[in-house]
Amino acid sequence: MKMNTLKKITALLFALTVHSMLASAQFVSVEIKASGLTCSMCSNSIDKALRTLPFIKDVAAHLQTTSFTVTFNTDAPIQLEDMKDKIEGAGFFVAGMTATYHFNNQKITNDSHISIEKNDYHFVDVSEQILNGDVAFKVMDKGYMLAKEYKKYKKKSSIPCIKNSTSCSPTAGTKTYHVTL
Amino acid sequence: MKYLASVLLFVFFHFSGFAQELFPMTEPASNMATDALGLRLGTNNYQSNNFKIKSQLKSEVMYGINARWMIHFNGYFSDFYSKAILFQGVGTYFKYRFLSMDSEHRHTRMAAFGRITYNPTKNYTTDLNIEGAQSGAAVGLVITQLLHKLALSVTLNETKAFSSTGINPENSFNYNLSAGYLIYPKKYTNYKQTNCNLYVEAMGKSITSNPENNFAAGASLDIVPSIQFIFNSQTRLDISYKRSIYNTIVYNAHQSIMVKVEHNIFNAFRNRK
Repeated sequence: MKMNTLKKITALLFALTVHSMLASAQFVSVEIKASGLTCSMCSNSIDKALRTLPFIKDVAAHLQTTSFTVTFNTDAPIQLEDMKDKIEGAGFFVAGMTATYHFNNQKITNDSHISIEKNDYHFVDVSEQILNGDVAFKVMDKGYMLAKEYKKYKKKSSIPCIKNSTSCSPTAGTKTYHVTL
Repeated sequence: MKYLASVLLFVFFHFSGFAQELFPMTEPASNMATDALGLRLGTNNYQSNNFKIKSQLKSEVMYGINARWMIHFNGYFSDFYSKAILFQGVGTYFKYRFLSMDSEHRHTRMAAFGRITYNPTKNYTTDLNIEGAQSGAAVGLVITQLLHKLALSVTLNETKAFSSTGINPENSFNYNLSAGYLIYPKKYTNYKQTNCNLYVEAMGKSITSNPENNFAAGASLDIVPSIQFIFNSQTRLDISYKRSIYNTIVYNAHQSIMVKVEHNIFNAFRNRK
């Protein structure tokens, strides 16, 4: 009996180790800070709005800081814009959005584009490096930070598509997010 | 009364915390969440000259159409002008938020609103109240400012009554100043915490009529302190005391007590998962 339990635990530990080693590239979580609210009823309305998105598994609210940690269902494609739209629909704004993504040896250079779940992610203000494991990146687009912060950021950016608000998507019709580490 | 107002203002300026803008007497410039449904029931009670308690009942269904637009539907009942409680009409209210400047712990928002009501009963009153006394319409503006510890809101509106009994006033200009302060919890940890907010609102009214109608002109200023409880971040209870501090409108209630309950249902129709 004891031997059986031990075998089961060993098998489980082995499976977990293998799983973590082979973990596929995917979103782990997204941290969203909302602006323009203080009351818990307002946070509740954001929480409930986010939960209507099919790819969201769970929302953990941090009421004191009006921020939310969102985790996902693995089978549905994740769209950051849909989360921003839900927060705006609840009557508030995104003050910051940081996504944690599990990378498998992904090489990035400054001003490089990579494709994640059919969307284009344009890495800006980064040094050349290889991303491995859970890495957090911050979205640097309009509507994903405070309006006055974005204005400042846009002004001093050396990346042409940010400076001039022009499209830089390598594939027509693909949504581009500008992100930094 | 003046003492209470001073204490409240002292509290607003000197203590830490977050201001609240769920004003009991007025609507803030902010709207409800998209697809949120709110159900409200409110009573306004005063003691008449013959010591009878007179009551008005206001039922309200509210809906967030999108981030910019929201709509209310009202039903009014009262025995203010009759022996028994009678149906005193229906109304609708729209609000459009056209300006939002948000940052951490502060925002400035502006909205425009309109109200239209229909009351089939002819009431002989020298007050102008399109919510339960006369049919009428109102248009107005609201600006709400959250300044870290202080929430302030100014509401201005022009009201016109449609039904005339000969003594009813026809127009009024209303101006409200509202302030709110959160006293509990000191620190938010979960949605189950009961919130307690204090408010003080000043409500001014100036009414005008045609020159041959001597009764129907005057001005009033009421001060309304309120305490509000929010349960489960979803249900709200407001208890308010209205006291007239200046009044030249004939037969206006000098003081009244108001109780309001509101329950919010998020993702009511469209966004159920």
